[in-house]
Amino acid sequence: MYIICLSGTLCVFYPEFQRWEKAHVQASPTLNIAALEHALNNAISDTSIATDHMYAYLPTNDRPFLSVGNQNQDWYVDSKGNMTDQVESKWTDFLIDMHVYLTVPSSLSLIVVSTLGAMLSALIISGFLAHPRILKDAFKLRLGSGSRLEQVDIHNRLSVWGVPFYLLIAITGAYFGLALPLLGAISIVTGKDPVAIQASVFGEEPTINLGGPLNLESTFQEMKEIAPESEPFRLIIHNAGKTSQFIEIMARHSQRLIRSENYRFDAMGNYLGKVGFSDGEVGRQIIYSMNNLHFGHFAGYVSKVIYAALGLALTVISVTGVNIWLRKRNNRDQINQLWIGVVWGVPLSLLMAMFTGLALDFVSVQLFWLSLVAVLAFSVIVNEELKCRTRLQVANIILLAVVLSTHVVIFRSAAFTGAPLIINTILISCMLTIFATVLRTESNQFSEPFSNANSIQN
Amino acid sequence: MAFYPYNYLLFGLLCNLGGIGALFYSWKSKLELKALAKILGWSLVVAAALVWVGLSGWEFGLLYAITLPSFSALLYICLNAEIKPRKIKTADYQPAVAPSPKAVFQLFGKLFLILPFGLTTSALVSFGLSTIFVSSELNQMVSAICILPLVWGGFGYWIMVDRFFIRPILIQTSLMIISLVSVYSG
Repeated sequence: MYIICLSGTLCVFYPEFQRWEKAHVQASPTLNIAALEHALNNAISDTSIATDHMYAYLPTNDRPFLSVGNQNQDWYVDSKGNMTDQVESKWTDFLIDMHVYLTVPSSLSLIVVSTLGAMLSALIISGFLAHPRILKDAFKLRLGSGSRLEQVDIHNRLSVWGVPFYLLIAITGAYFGLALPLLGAISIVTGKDPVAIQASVFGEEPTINLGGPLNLESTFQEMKEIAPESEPFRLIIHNAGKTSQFIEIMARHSQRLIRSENYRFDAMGNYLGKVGFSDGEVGRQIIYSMNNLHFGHFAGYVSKVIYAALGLALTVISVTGVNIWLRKRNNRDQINQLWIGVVWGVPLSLLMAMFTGLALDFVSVQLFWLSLVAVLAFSVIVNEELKCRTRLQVANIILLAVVLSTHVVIFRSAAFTGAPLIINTILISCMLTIFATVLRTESNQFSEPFSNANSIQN
Repeated sequence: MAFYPYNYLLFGLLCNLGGIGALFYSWKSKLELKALAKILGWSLVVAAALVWVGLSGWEFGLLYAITLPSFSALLYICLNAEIKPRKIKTADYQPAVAPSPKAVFQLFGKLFLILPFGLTTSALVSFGLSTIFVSSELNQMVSAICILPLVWGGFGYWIMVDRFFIRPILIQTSLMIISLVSVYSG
């Protein structure tokens, strides 16, 4: 739960992390339709690149460049319509994989992660049922007064005041992995065809018999007349290269939570209709809002900051929850040490992966888990909570400084503009916060060994 | 009449802060005004919600309404925090003891009940409930997807805490059967 909460909080800024990793890529915020058409038609006619579905990402505020790709890879597109470098953001992709799959891409791990969404619901329900005074202590926060009470207050205050958000995250998070199994169960119970069920939610494919190259000038001209207020951000070519191929433009609607309304055109740019995510049945609108509701990508930086702050609160809740359980026990054992290792080892391993991604253009899932195991082993060997925690915090500070320095050395002035500047500011803030925590611990420290009661905080 | 969004934004923020502030005052105060402060507080929070809906549409507005009060509350919590010098105590170390086979068996038994059994019963109960309260087929499926985590979470919690182990199993199985009957008859 801690890993998913932490990675989820970071994922709120995944577009910014993508640009941070490739800070040298020049932004080209204006859509060059001729270049896009040239690139897509070439890609579709190239058998080494073409797949059944081809994609184009149009320039937006989050992603201010044009790219074209297949089901496996994307390429930047220059002003002449040539596909140039591959679009890569290895660390960000790794971070998203960690959040969605716990780094093991498979349907089963997606279901496991989504199950934790349901478990989060259980924890929320149990929290209110098991704590009758939880609302009576709504504003109480006792810091420093005995380690367990402090953890309980932090846990309960953050929990109570963020409940609507946490329920939202739990329900939307569970949707991603449980929707398809549930639809499968419904199809078994009702006897309906699962493909038909999916089509009723996501729209049926139009029937077309028109091949030939794509005419995107006409398509976007038609798009402007049909939905002038919308903001197209993605383009999909279904059944690319076949006579049944059609174009689907995904366009954002202002002040709507739906990810997009999808407008369909044939290869010549004739409008075929829209799927109906914006004005169809309520259920369809809700389903298509799940992505934005979960990741907070619907109102620019306002929603991102809200989601990141509350996501961080949920991460703290998951840590303090385990801290409370550890402090309820009368003794200290390897589990206490291992937990410190997990709490400070996961960010440390993420930073390690960030550094290798920057310096060596290499991000390894195995290296992440190995470094985490090494940190856990270190925690058990040190066997003294305060010393272990402080050392891991200092290691995090050092690695943050190394990552920041590496980024500045590689990208120079580009590290201080736009999205890279935002990420570097976040990293500096993390560094200063952890540093302040270490200083506070050092200044308050005095030791009083006794035979029972609570152990030291994380 | 001209529309000044920043004025409304400021008004909304003040209602948000003031509303939570009034709730904080009613929580802290022992005076007779505390009930009035509570009513005022919730009224201001609702007013703030209306401002967000008016400024950003009802979808964004509702999201702001459920998330922004958290920040105001945390502000008052921090301002009201009791801060004492931190005492750091060390406890004696005792090597971890492996759990007994009985405890492991009980744990995995409950895990099996919560996971496959709980998922199955909660999925069917969620779908059954949605067929009762929602008319369109598509909306029924979406309702089921949305309430599934809550039902499953509730069922899982019940299995863990009930003193009589068999009770939640029997009741959840009965609910599942009732849901199946409802689906097939509907």
